[in-house]
Amino acid sequence: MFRLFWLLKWKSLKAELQYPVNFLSGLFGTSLIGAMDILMLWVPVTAFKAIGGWDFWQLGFMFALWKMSHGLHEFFFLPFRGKHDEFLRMGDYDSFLIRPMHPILQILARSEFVVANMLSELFPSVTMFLICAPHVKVPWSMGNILFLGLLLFSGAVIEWAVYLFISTFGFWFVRTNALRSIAGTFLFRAANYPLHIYGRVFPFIMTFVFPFAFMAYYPTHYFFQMQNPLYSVWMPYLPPLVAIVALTIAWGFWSLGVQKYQGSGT
Amino acid sequence: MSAFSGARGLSGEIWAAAGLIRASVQEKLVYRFDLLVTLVRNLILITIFRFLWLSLYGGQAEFGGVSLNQTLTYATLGIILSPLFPNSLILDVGGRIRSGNILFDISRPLHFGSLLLYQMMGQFVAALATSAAPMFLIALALGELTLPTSGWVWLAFGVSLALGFFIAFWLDFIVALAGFWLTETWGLFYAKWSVVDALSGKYLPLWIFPPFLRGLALALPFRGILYSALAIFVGQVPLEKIPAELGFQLVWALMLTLMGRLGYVAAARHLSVQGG
Repeated sequence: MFRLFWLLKWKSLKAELQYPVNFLSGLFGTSLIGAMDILMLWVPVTAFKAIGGWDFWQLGFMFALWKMSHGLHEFFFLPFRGKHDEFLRMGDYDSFLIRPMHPILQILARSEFVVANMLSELFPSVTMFLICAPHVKVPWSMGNILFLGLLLFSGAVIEWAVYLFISTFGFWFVRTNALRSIAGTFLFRAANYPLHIYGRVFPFIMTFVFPFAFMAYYPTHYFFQMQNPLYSVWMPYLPPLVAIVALTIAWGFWSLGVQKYQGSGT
Repeated sequence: MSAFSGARGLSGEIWAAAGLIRASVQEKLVYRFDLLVTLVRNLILITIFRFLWLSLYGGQAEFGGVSLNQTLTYATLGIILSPLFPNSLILDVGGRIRSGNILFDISRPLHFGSLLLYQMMGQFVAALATSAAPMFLIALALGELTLPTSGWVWLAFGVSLALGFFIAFWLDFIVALAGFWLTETWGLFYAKWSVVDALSGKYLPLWIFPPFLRGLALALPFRGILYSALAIFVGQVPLEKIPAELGFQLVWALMLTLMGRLGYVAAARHLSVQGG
């Protein structure tokens, strides 16, 4: 089943590379988003020296963690943020449901421009990571590198779980754009700055509703050996667990939703 | 084509403009639920930046000669107003070129640039009335805004916003013309989007930029989209310097109009549409 998944991903890469100019211009354009996000951190931190007590290395490291996770998400899980509503509306689900491969895996494999999308997240984030990693307090031992890898993948799964959950509403309502765009505001804007500057409500939302804070804010405390001020000192170690729980809930909700599927009528 | 539109005269042009503006206003009003979502999104963004600035000011009332209230007003107004400006024509035009529908657009008696201009004006007016104005009142009620006391500042702010619209539109139009040469335009769309976000002062006022970057941003036309109007509103452009600021915007608006018109001549000549 997973062999088939990789085969489909490989095919989509080959399709992307059919138009190399588009591939490269897309890559360049979307990489600029990351560059501008970095600018949005660098400018205020240069003028004011720190944001919420964090210096540029800490902010840059948090941004890099978030963005690298997000890059993995774009490669593996993108269709649930992008195309799920369309699959429901256009009746693609009919074919997902009658094939032997699990529908969720089929949807994950149905992706366009995944490689350009992933690389355009990874260029700015890996650059920032390499710049900020030498300032981290914990040593770059094998164990920590493995932990980093686990965190990045957990982060990608957390993002996926949120969008899988939101997409599932599509079985009842025609469009889920509204929720998606609200979640996106937290993901793409609020997550750029340290969570403790936001008072009480936003940290609660980013921890328990859309748990994006586990993608970068909490784990950053481990690497810089800072005491996490929110909820519990154990938060930096929890992302893998949160990923499993969030995905289980979202997957369960999807399984419930898919039973409501009635076809698009086309 | 342009000779034909000349023959219809000015009144024909105005009728066409009024019709197109009305149509886009009506189109916008159909999607009432989207207005609600925009409202919620804007409130979230305003909250994010409110906390960011509170944290940066760290209890001080002033930083570098700018008060916290001025900065909060700038940030809030920037979030409310920035969705009004055209920024995604390239996707629209690119799509119409791929589908071939562009042929209908460019063979109308109305100039293609004017067609899009009036549509965007309609969207600007509709968004101003349905999302920016209510948002402004909400932000005012929440105490996020400090209003200017001088009537001249209000007037200059209005003029500056209008000029900003023209700069945004023609910049967007010029970038959209690239669609006549490229087959996929999303890379360019994001590139332009990012540059405009940063250099128009949408999220961060240009006065906190480091000197080199600030010099660059102040020299480029992007600042005329939003920064000029916001800086006038919060009083960072003193009364005696307002004419110069508006002059900067006017010159860029005219230059970009000319560039857009000339660019369109070249683009229309180059256009090739796939059959079918």
